[in-house]
Amino acid sequence: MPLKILLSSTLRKHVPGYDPTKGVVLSPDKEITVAELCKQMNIPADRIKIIIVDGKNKSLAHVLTGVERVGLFPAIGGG
Amino acid sequence: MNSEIQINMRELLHAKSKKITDPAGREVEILEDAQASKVAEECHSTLHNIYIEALTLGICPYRYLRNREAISLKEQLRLAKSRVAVIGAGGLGGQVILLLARMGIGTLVVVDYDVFDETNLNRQALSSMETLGKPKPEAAAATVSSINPGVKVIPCQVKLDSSNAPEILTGSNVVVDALDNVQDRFLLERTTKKLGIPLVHGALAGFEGQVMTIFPGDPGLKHLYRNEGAGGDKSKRPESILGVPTFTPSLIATLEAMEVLKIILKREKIFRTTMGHVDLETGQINEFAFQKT
Repeated sequence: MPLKILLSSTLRKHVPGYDPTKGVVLSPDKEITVAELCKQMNIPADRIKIIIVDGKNKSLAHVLTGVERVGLFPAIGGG
Repeated sequence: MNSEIQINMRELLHAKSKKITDPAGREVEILEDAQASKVAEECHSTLHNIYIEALTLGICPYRYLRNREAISLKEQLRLAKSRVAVIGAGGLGGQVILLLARMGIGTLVVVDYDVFDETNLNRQALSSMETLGKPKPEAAAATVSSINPGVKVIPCQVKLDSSNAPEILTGSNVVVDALDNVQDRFLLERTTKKLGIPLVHGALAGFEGQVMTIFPGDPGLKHLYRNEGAGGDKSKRPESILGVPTFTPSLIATLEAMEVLKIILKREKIFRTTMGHVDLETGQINEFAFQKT
């Protein structure tokens, strides 16, 4: 099972043609941190406030083995 | 209320109530608003107090008949005796206020310093052509009174800050975050934690929104925003770029109102140390767990 990355809100704008129903599917050939993943996807790390890996909150330093489901969220504050 | 007035009120309530059969075929003693108003007038009291007294006697104000049995009479009484502060009376707050008023929360404290303008009309439930230019708490009080005069509204047209927040929020059973920026949310969270009041957080941008309930001692907003500066430059905020279309505040407000209900009625399960996230575009509602520290 490859790595599946789901982007929220304005983070989607950083990935041209992003389809929110499918996300982005990657198959990294080695372990990769969330920070490295963001860099690879051209998503500025400072825009990401919530990192969810397989349903749980993680940090940018979290190491991904390549089979996880990752959700990245910016700070949304509208009311 | 002295005991003589209370006895008189109770006799009147029994005399003015009537027994009907509800849509499920169950017999129930109800009190219509016209009769409740007469009792209030005769006893020099308010509908707010009359509802509480009726519910104490096991008489269902007719307006709450269709809350059964999602809400029992005892629970309806608990709601009638409850006080909820809603901070912000815009997109989220307007909907939350209307929902809680219809549900029968006895007292609503409505805090917002702003007045309605045309850009509010796309989503803010209390805005209309008639309320443009009017203070939001004032509009809330008028609208709630027209929907459920048994709900007491305490309008506060102020910007919540560290000096006025404790006085405004003290005495509330629950506080609802219906604000529109991260910095004010942290101020609100600090105050509710200090006062020992649960806070129901909600926020949105575009067709996405989130909800979390924060009890004193919970890590709360730091998991969602990391720090107060998370909102950053206004022009770069997701809500500035994607906007705030009406469906999203409606749904997030409903989730927030449900959290309020569950907290007051001590029901499971609330979004505590978890974030409920809604994406209307994809039709997904997900729950994400956070560390409890």
